[in-house]
Amino acid sequence: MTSALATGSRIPTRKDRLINGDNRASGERFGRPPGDVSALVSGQHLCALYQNQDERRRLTAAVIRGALAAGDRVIYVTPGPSDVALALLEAGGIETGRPVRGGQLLVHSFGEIYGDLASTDLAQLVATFQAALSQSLAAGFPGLRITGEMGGSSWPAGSLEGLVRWERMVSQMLGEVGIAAICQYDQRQLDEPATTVIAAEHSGVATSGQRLPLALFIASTPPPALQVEGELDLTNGPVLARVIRARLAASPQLRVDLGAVAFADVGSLREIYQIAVGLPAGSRITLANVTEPVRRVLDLAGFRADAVVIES
Amino acid sequence: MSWPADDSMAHRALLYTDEPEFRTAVGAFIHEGLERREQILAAVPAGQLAWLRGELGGDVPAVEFADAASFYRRQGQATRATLDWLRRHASDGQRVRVVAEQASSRRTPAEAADYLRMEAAANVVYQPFPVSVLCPYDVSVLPGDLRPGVEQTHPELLRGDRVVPSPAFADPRIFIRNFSAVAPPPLTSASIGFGRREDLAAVRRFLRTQLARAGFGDEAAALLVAAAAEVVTNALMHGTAPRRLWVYTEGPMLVCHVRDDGPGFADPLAAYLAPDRHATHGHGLWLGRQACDCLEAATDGTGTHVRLLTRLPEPGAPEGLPTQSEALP
Repeated sequence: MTSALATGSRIPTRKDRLINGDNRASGERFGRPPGDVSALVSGQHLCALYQNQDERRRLTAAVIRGALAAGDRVIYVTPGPSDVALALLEAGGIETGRPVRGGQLLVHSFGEIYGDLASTDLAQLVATFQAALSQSLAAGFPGLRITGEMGGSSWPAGSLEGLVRWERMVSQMLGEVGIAAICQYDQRQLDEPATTVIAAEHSGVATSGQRLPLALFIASTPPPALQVEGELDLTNGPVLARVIRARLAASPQLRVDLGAVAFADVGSLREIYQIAVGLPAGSRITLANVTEPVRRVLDLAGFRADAVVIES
Repeated sequence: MSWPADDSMAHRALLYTDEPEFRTAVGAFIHEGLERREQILAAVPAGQLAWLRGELGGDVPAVEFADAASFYRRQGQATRATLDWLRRHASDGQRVRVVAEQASSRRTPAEAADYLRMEAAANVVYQPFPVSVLCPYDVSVLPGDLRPGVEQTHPELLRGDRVVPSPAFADPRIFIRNFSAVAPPPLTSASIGFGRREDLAAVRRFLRTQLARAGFGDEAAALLVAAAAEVVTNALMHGTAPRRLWVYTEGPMLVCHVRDDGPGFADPLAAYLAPDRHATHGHGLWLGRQACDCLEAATDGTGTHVRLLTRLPEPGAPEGLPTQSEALP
């Protein structure tokens, strides 16, 4: 259906805009630019539209994976029971056990987070999430993001106006507090004008991104320990530094488990050493389960710092 | 013959023809050091090691012997091991001595050229230390085309018991610049272009495939991937497009060849100096230097080229890399 529209270089016509809200020339959907959930920035407010359970699973997993790839804490707000939510993530390829135990992945119902939706005002919303962000920073996370399932009984049919008021308030709150949110909508429950109205309250429409992140930064127990999985290079070395700084702010003795790091470039390892060189007395980074390739890079690059202990 | 007693560095070449000449000159160097209570490191081939032990009547506590075959297995690691030794023994201003001779028989032309560049760099690398370095060369096996290079890279020469300035000695940076030529990659070799940070993962996959194809085991391949990835990262951060990596063989060596369109290194010594403890860059090339058998960096009208050359694994040889304990005396 879309192959003729997606290829070729002819000038797009008005008709192109009619396919599921897509403007294939600019990548916009419902008049909003695409937003990659794996590259969120603070204050960003995306809406994620899914047409079936498979899309929902893929989008939700991408949101959680994006949070783990940033080392951020993520709150998953869902109308259903938390075990159902976790099962959805597992089916999407997310291993939820460690992030849940490490306090990195929190699953809450709408009521637990917002109380009574109808009476919540902006001041309350800002206060709620300022507190949540403070708790995240205190727990050693560099940032906080929220994703919420917007369907279900909390939003009875016909309350589009209430929904728009809510989303507008959330946008203001995100900007003030400095966190990111992705609101998930079942597109089957919305007609196209409603979708356009809702999309207009967001900074972009979520795309799940094609590539898996190069590495995940997982909070592990006892907090604020850190497990790194994957590969470290120029693309995520700065993320590693951000996560380590946040963890160290929560505890002066940090254990970084590199057992699942198959490759680390000199630049990313230098980030660790440069942080260590600036640490106050009594503060220390322990590198645990260092793999042989990473150990050789550490050795040959000649990094030395008293505040880095390599556990053998 | 007398060597400095102050805090200066001395770097002299001895071009000898036979065992008596070696024993007389190197023996005098070591005996003078022992009289002055200087620590001595002697990294020489096995035959010369035996001559020295004969000259000294066995092992002497102040003299550390290292077999050149393992000490110089990788040029960069020998520099690193020598630097570590100097830091241990010469950091309090205590004068020390080094005898350094490599067996030259197994060298490829690329290795010989890299060796001479390292000799030139040594004049700068060891400058901070109060060290007397004597480099004996057996002229009966020294390839004729290396001899001018020896005289260009050593400021002084030993002639019998006289010290003469080397008339051909060249500024190390100028020597390295003039002694680095671009070798274009073979037209048919495998290659991959890169231009963004996001391409690095694909570059590593390409390298792993090529290294496995060339017969490198996992451990050796991982180290080469790390070394080549650093050169690629440098090209990405400091070079300009278009950028490309080739992998090919050249005689007994595997070559990872990175090209970009930039002007190259501002300092010709960039690929030869150990970064200091707090340096924010320079570790990548230093790693490449030690992970490979030789490293070339050259710029011409076709761009900036960095080549990492590593001996291909010999069929049937057990996988293994020289460990730090092998490299260190």
